[in-house]
Amino acid sequence: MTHNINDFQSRIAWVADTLIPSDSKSGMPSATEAGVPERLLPRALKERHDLAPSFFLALSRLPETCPSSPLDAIRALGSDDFHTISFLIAGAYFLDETVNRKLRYPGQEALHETPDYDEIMEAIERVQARGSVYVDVA
Amino acid sequence: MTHKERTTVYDVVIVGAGPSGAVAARRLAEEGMSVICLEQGEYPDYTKLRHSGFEFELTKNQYFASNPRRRMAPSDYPVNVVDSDVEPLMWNGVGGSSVLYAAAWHRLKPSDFRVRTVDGIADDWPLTYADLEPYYTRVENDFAVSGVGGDPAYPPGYEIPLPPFPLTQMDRKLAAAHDRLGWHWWPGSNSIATVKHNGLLPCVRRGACTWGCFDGAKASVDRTHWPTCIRLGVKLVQNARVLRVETGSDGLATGVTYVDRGTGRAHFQPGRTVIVSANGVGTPRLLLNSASKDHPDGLANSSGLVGKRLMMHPYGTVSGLFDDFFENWQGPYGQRSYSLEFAETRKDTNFYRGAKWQLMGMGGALATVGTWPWGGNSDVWGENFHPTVQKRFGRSAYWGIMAEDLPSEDNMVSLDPDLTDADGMPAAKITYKASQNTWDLLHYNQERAVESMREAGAYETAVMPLQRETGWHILGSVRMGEDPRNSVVDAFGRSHDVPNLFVMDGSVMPTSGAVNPTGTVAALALRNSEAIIENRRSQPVSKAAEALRVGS
Repeated sequence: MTHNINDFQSRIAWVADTLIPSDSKSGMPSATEAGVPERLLPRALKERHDLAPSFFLALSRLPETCPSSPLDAIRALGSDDFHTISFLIAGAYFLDETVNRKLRYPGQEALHETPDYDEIMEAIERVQARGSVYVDVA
Repeated sequence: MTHKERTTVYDVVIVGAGPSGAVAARRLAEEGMSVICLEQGEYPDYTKLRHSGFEFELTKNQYFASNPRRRMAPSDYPVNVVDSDVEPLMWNGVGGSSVLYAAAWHRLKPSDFRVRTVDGIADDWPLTYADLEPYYTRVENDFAVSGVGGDPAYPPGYEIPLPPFPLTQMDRKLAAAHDRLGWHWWPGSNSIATVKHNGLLPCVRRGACTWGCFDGAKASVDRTHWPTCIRLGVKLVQNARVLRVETGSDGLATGVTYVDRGTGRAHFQPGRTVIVSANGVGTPRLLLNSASKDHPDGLANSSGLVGKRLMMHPYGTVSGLFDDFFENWQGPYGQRSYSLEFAETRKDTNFYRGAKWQLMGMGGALATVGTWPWGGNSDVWGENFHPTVQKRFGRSAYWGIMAEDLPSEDNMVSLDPDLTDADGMPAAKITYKASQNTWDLLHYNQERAVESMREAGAYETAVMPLQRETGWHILGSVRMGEDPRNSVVDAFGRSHDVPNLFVMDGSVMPTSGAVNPTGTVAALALRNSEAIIENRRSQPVSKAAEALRVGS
């Protein structure tokens, strides 16, 4: 069964901001401010198409509009559905470049570094000086 | 119904294209033996990785999930883990679990081969560190092991062929802490190329090691061994699920019956010698499923130990949170550093043996709100979300605590009485409980690891005593030994009961040690293969297989 994400936008909005509200102290945006419902979640669901059916099924068990205790309502779905929803919402949130820039996360970069062999040798000589740490059975 | 057609009789039929199967195939083919390898999966499709973009963490546990119960690839078979504290992890395809291993590389220590002699418990191996040392040295070159030689946790002479990774700020913090505590630590040794070597490219430290290495730096045997095997003429049959090892009226192995998963047809593949390298779950499953009138309890099982004494290195974590921001998401992942300070039996504790600690990176932003290595993530949502991310991302590290597992016949792999795979073969059932010795060992090491983190400057630590989905190392279920009454195979992996049947994988290990076992598994496979080569003229072969050979 296929689902149209547009049919779930109001649910997605309150669920996403319940899980990821804005934070004035760190200056981080909420999920909707970051663009999760319209822009990022479709990307996440395309990447994790295997999780999409259970995601929409879980969403369909939630009310259309935000209940009085929204986090409790999401938790009441049970651990598997809660995990699917929270993983995809957070996974979508962290697809955003601005969010990652604020965190100073460049992604898993390709690094080309030469070891400082002098530093390594000085470090291991201190360990060697403490003596062996294995049982000799010879 | 077995599909009957005239089939080439190979000198050696290998079941499984993982590290042991690949090492054996290459060495035997180098000596001119004809070799066929039957593998239930295919080559990994590395194009399914999203290794460099922000999609990496969202997608890493999809196609390349370590747990076959979550991955559910067509080549996977069901494993019943209801009665197990730990879930076994594996990759069922060409390369075997080297496709997914972290590639932390170790030798066992000399005492690991002499646990009975040193501690009066468990068993001694039928070989010693000195027996295996030359084979370690050779496979360490083949597997492109990088790091620093001269580790005082090993006897002199343990050199590492490839140069190390740079020390990171995380390494420096923990190294300085251990210097102050007077404890051992050492730069990480990993079967990850740091310079171009044996078909591998230098690692660029993306930290994707345990989800398939896109960059071609990690020594998985689909890259390091199988290209050479194919050039040497080894026939690799993919999508071939072996159901049974067959025997003739003379009690010797005649070959194997397998299902072509593409067509669903069963075939008999004859061979003069059969090597089973299907890992510590798959190997006993196959031997038990090879029961016959002559072998009612399973093949090679006169000792009753096939499937028994399963060991899986129970694994806990100790995470530390730091004030300063440092790069903790890059690789190798892999181990940055390790400590063997507490790997031997100590006089001041109430348990035997010890643990290895490995210093690990933490992953990217999404990992900060995941369950690993934090143990759970139920309290990180809502108003806690951003403070949690801010505390953890770029400001955390963890020690992975790998406990030496002692053998117990109560921990085992058996055939599930109800569950079968898609080809009708019984599923594996795991029965496994961590012992009191394991719990005491883990608690002690975790207390010491908290001290380590605090000394390194962590203002907060989190301890996860035993993580469930950590059965990377599946050992002991087809024990080797000298006495056929209490072991399945001899010191060279040869079945006591069926002298042209060999087992080469971690299942033969009588004790587990406390370190990552692939180095030992590969060294054993090389040693055992050379024994097959040396003894090839006197190797007993089934008359049935010989008759097929004449007729082929």
